[in-house]
Amino acid sequence: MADVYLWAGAKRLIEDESPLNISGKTVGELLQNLVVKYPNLKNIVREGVSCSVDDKLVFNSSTETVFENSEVYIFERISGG
Amino acid sequence: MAFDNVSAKSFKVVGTRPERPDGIEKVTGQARFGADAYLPGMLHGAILRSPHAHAKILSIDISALENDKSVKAVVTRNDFECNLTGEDWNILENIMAGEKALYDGHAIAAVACSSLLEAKDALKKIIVQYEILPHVTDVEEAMKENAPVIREGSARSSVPKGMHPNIVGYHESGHGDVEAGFKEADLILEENFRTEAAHQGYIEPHACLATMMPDGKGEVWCCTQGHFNVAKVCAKLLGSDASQIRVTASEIGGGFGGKTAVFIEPVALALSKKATHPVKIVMSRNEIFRATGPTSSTSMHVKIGMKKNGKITAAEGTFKLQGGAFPGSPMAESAMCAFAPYELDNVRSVGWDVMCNRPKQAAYRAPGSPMAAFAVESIIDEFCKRLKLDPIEVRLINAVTEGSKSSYGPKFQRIGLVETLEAAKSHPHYAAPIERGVGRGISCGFWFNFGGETCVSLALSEDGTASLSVGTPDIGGSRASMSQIVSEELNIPYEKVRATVADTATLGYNEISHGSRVTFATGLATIKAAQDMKKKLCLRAAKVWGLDEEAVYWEEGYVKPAGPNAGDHEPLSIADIAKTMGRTGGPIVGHYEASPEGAGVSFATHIVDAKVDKETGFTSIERYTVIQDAGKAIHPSYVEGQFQGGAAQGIGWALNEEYIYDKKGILQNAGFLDYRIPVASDLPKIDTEIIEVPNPGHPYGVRGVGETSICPPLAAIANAVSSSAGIRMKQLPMSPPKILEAMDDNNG
Amino acid sequence: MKYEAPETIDQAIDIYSKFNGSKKILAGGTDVLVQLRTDIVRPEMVMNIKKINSLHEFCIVDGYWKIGAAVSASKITKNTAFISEWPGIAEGVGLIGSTQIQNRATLVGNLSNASPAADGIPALVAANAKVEIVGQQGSRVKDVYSLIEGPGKLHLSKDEFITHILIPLQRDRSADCYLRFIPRTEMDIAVVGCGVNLSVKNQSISSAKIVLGAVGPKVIFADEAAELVLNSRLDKDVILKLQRMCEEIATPISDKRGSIRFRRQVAGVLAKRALQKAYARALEVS
Repeated sequence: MADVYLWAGAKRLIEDESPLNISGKTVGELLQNLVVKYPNLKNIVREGVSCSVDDKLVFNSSTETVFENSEVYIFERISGG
Repeated sequence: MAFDNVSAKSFKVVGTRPERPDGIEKVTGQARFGADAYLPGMLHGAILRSPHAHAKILSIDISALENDKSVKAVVTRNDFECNLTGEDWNILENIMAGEKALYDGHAIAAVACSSLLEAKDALKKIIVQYEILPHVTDVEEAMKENAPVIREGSARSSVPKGMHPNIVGYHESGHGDVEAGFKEADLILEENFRTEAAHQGYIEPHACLATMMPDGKGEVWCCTQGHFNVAKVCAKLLGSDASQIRVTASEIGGGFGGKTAVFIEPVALALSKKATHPVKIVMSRNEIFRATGPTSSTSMHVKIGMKKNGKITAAEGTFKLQGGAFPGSPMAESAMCAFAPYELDNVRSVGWDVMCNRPKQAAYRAPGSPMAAFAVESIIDEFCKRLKLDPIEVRLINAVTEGSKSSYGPKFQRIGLVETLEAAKSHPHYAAPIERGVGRGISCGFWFNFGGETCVSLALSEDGTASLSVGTPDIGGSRASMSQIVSEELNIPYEKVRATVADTATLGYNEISHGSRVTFATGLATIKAAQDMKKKLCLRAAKVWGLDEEAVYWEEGYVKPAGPNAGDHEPLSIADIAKTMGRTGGPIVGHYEASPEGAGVSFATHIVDAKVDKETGFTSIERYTVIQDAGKAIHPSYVEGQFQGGAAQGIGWALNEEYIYDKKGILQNAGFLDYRIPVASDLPKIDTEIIEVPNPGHPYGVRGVGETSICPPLAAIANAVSSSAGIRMKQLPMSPPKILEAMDDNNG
Repeated sequence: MKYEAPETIDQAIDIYSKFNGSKKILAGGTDVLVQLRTDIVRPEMVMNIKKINSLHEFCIVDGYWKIGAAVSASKITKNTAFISEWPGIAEGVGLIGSTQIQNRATLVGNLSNASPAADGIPALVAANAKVEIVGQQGSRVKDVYSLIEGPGKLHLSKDEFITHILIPLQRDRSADCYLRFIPRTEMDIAVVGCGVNLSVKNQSISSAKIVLGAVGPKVIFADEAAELVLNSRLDKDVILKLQRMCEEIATPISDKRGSIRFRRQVAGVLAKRALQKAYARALEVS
């Protein structure tokens, strides 16, 4: 299970305290499992999120590997100019 | 041989400054930009635009054009796809109004004629009946309970229930306990800040030439930062297939984020489809200001607590950004970048995305970050003045380093903020005495940088030269830097590589040239494609020699037999292998396709000297120094150019650029005469220093450089101006009237 | 659209006066061509006057500097004899557009466009310059100030056009100056402009003209302010009074280029600075 931290705006939508323990071998799996466990997060995940896995920024990829003890931060998707 | 982790450790070509490959064409005027395309039978398109800030469109009467022989086609919203949702719908609604005109300049209809003059005359014959609605162009006003509603139901799910429909996005990030943090502070400062919308100000207007045949095949030539995106968007808006619309990117005369958006290409295609002739549309500067995207205007509040020694105990910020009549302002970016340079135990950042009767904002160089830095770094400057602390020392005390927890969540990997601050401290500019009347300002800035979908192809020619096809338009010198990378990897001269921006039919999807991603992502893809080619060259040599793959290796541009057991073969150069490749197995091409992650965030520190004429409010920038972490500079001259460009645009934004609306919501300064970007003589020589703290996510250590350079200038200049004028400037632009007004108000 | 390019002034008068539709004269074209391209004007006839030799005259005739309607701004700013006599007029001309624009633009064009913010006009008015006008009835001379009717308008009848500007020779112990304020350093339009022409006697100002630009529908003579500085050596208190007086004389509007308050304030500052500069110049030639 990875330790998952949400941005404060998203945290308000669920009752649990960070970190959340979510399983998943990839970012995509982890997000899927996150939404299954916390259906309230469904819309904001669908609207687009980015994350960091063990401090590496992952803007897009859902296949990025997540390890058993990874630290995953999820934040709103951002874009550049 | 495993090539995946091989990279040049000491560089031969990377880091040098070869001549740019597009120089002769551009200097002699031969380069073909968006408006430089012509086709037989080509028509000219023109777009009718709303003269109202907010109005219901009751009817569009085109009957006067029906018997007009000069008019070859007319299109309105009815000629586009009607079942779109989400951002696709937003784009369509923006480029051709539906039920309402949402801002001054909003497109209502378009015509195509044999000449532009005829097209302009035809527009005058279209009769549109409007019901004028109340409008709002100010971000604070648009959030008020009684504000006119732009559109119901546009809010993202993050917005708390019960808010005004104009409020369409909410962001909150941070950690710790800010209230407790403020209690620890020796001094707390808080202030409101405002910034006006600034346009990217690219000199080349949006222009395209589009053909749509009755069988649905389309061709588009246009100036864009992302032609694959143009194909995708056009296909959706016209109900066609992305593969059927081939888009070629022209040379580009500036984009800075503004050409990531699509405006005229679908309109030209729709006109062409009706007229069955090619249609060219070139936007006027007036149209560009009114109907393409500037960046957001903002209203911000920042509160920071500090110990007497300069250590920040807590920081809190609210960033309200209006993004025109659509969702999508970069308020989350503002909130996340605002405090990123500082290691904070207690921090909270809130962003609001607000709709107004203004054009849909578009990305502009590090969207959201410069304004946030203006607010935060102004307060830090005020602390330095009140607590008599050195501005660089205060920033060093609080600066993030590898392992620091960022204000937006994750910990930083290896970063170069402290290096830029140390370089600033020892820079001759910082040591230079400050002349009487001059103010000196410092600021840091932060930007994320991106990766994204990338695909390149590297073909070997029979003479041993290489042809690289990339799918990211060259907006900052990427053809030069990519050629350098191929040259470095293959050990062939830079001049023997030609890099081309290929059209959408030639390569797989490439994300737009944005987010400072090209040197990072296309660069990474080019390294990998060259390594792929080297692997294929080794295989080919092995085949020729009748050896196994493992029995050969690559060294300095040659394939060599590995050890005495492999036999006594003369090493083969790329040229040797290329010469016979047709007979030894066919063409040799290196590929790479991926969505690389691991883009390295970057930081910059700027030093500015400014002098305010206290009688007229006129500011002159006396000296400017940019210090930024590039990770690794592939072509240092282009990197320096990016540093200087960011500073130059920042000077304009800080001092004079602004969108001025009248009481009716009509833009008053839709031209370069009254929308004042800096002219050459407004700018000092901008000194640069490249810091190279490698990005662990890239084989050469590259970080993006294009955007971070515009993050510190607003704040650095405001700090210098405030110091020179003797008052804290809290609003941008700091144009002469506003400086005099602020000085008068201060004197009571 | 009809295009004419007469080679003599008589031909030009004939073509221009007989044409009844909308018409524009083309010299440098830096205003007209831009207006054509952006569809602000669509004249039925354009008459190019650059082929008329007499309109390229730039010389002293009968006590006047005579500047033809086809003389480019750069010809004026590069004429050292003219600059040493009328540095202020040359300053105004040298501020029009940019170097490239000045190679095409003409002072008569700047005057004909009659923008309240024209950089060429205030110093001309302060110098008491005149224009030579031709038409069906022959030629006449009129002073620049009374030629201007308002924004974009001159007191000319339909058949008339300007052929020359006439600037009297500068008097002894006299000098002029023009300053303008813009938020940038060049390529901009005056938010306020001020032309000053003065003479000194025994180091005191013996006569002065102060002309404010861009703070009213046409240039304004700040005569009351000019009276204030008469017989003075521009001491601090005089300057302060002058500044306040000019702030009051200015009648600007608030628009995208500046508020009423800002323009009044800057009008005062520019009048002060232009006077000081002209005064210093006059002392130098005394």
